[in-house]
Amino acid sequence: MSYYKHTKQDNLKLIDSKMPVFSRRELGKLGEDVATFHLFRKNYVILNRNILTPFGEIDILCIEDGFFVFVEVRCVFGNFLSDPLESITEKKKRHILNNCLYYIQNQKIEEEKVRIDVVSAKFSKTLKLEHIEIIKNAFCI
Amino acid sequence: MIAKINSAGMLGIQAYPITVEVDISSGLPCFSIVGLPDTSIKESKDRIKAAIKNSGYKFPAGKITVNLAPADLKKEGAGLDLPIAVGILCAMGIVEQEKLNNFIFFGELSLNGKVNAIKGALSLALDLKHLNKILILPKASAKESAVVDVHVIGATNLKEIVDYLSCKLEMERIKIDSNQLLQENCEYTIDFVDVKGQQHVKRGLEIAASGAHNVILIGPPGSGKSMLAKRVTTILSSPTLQEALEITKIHSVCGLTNTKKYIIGTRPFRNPHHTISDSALVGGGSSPTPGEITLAHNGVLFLDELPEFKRNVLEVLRQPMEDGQVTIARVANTITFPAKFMLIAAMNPCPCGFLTDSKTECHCSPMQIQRYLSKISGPLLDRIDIHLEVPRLNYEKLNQKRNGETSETIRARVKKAREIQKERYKNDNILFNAHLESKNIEKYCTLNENAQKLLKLAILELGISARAYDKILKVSRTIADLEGKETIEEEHISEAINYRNLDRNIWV
Repeated sequence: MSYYKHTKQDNLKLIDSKMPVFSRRELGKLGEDVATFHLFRKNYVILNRNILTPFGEIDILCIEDGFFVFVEVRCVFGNFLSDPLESITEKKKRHILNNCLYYIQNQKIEEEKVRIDVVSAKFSKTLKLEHIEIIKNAFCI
Repeated sequence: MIAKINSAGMLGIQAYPITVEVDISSGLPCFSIVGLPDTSIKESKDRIKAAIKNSGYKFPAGKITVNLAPADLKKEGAGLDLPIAVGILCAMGIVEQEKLNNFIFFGELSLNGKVNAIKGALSLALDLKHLNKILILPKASAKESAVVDVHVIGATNLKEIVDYLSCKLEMERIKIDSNQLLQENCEYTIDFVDVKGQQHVKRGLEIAASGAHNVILIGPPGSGKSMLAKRVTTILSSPTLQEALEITKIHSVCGLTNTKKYIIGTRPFRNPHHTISDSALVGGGSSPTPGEITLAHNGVLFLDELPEFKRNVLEVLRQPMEDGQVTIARVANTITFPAKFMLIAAMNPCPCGFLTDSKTECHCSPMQIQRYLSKISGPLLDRIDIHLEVPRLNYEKLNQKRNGETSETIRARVKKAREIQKERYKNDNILFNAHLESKNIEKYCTLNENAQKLLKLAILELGISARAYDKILKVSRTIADLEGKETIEEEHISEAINYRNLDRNIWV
C-alpha cells in the first residue's frame, strides 16, 4: 500500500521535473550497472552477472587479488538520510550467504579463496551518482 | 599452515599448559574457536580482530579455525586473547613458527592492540617453571611473576611483541630481588598498642599466636573484640618467602593484588559477614574459586558474631580446620585448595550481650541464654582451644595514654616460642602445639608432680571433660614454651584451665 503511494508521489515529483517514470526494478538495474563499471575501474575482473540460484540471485561475480568475489549491490535514490548498508537485514544476509554457498558447491570451487563484498551507491533524485563505496569482506559467518 | 602457540589456563589456583593451534584455510570468511571456550573467550573474536587491525596488520579473509588443546577441559578467562592473536599472525606468515616454540603467551587484548593485565600471574610462573620457556605477559602483571626465578618479559602492545619476535626490537627480562621485596612489603599499619588495657586478653592472644591455637572471644558489645582480632596478624611471625608466595598466589588468582605491591608480605586477615553462604566461605561454584578460608591461608580468619552464622556454614568449617586444606569435588574435576588458618571467633555471652557486664543488667531469661550458647555445636567448640572473656573497660583505663607493649615486642616472644616448637617437631609431620594428637601429647607434655595433682583436682572438682583435658595440656605446653621451660609446671596448668570458660558453664 505504502509502496504504491510512494511511487505515486515519486511520479508526481518526476512529472514535475519532466523526467520519465522509472519502476523499482529498473532503478535497481541502473544501480547494478553503475556498480559494475565502478568495480571494473577498480581492477575487478567481472565474470558474470545476475546468476540465478534456487535461493535467489547473485548480483555480480568477479575475481580480485586472488579471491573469488561475490558482490551484492545496494542503492538508495533521492533520500540523503538512509544508508544503503542498513537495508541489508538478517534475512537478506542469510539469503546472500545461501546463494554464495550454493554456487560454491555447485561449481566445485571449495578449494578457492572466496569473499563477499557489498557495493553501496547513493543517487540523487535526478539520478546523478552522489556516492559509491565498496565494502570488502563484508560478511563473516 | 598450522600455527602452534604455547599458553596456559587456570584450574582452581593451579596453572596448566594449553596449546593454541590456528589454521587459516580457504572458503567463505569465518572465525571459529573450538575447545570448550567459555563466553569471554567466545567474545574475544571481536577483540582480536580489532586489535590486529589497529596494530597495522591486515586481518586475513579466510576460514580461521582456532583449537584450544586439551579439548575436553573447559577454558575460561580472557587471557587467551594474546596467544590466539599471535597464532593468527603466525598462520598468515608475519611471525615465524620456529621462533615461537620457546615462549609462553598469556594476556588480554584491548581494542587498540594494548595488552591488559591478567589474574593469576604468579601461579603461571610457579606452575610452568618446569617447562623452561620464556613467559610473555602484560607489563602490569609481569613483575608479580618475576619474583620467582623464571625468565619473564612484560609487553605493552601487540606490535611490540611481533617486532620482538622478528628480532627488530630488544626486550629485557624483568629482574626482581624477592627477599628485598619481602622486606619492603611487610609493614603493618596497625599495632597492638592501639588497644588500651585488656592485659588478660592480650596475654591469651599471645599464647594463641605462639601455638597456633584457635580462640573465641566472649564479651559485651563494644569491648574491643574486633579491634583485638584485627591486630593478631601483627604478632604472628613474618611470613617466610615460601609462605608469602603462597599468600600472593591465592590473592593473585582472586584479583586482589595491586600492581604496586608485587608480593604480599603481611599475613592476611579475613573478616566475612555472618550472612555468608557455605560455598563463599569454603570455596565452590561450578568452576571452583577459592573461598574465605583459602584467602585466609597462612593468616587469620575472624568470625564475628559467631551465633549469627548459619548452622550449615559452621559445620562445613570442621573438616578444613582439621586437615589444613579443603577439597571441592564437581562433575568435571576435583580441586584441592590450601586452608591453613588460625580461627578467631567472637560472640556476646547472651542475646542482649550484657550477661558478664558488671554495670549493665542482663534482661535475658536462662532459657534464652541456654539456647543462644548452644547454637555453637560441640564439634566446632572442640576445635577451639582458648576461651577468653573480654570485659568492658572502665573510664580510668579508657582515658589513660597508650602504654602497653608494641606488637614488635610481643612478636619477638612469639617467634622464640615458635622456634622451640619447630625444633621439637622437626621429625613429626606437625608444626605447632595445636596440631598435637593424643599419642604425641603423652610424649611431649611432661608434667611435674604439682602440676599433675592440680590437673587431677581440676578434673574431679570442676567437672572438666576428656575433650578439655587434651586441650589444657596443649595450651599449657605453649605457655611453658613461652617461658622457655621444658616440663610443664602448675602455674602453666592453672593458667590453661582458666582458658576453658565455656566448658565450665559458669553462667548457666
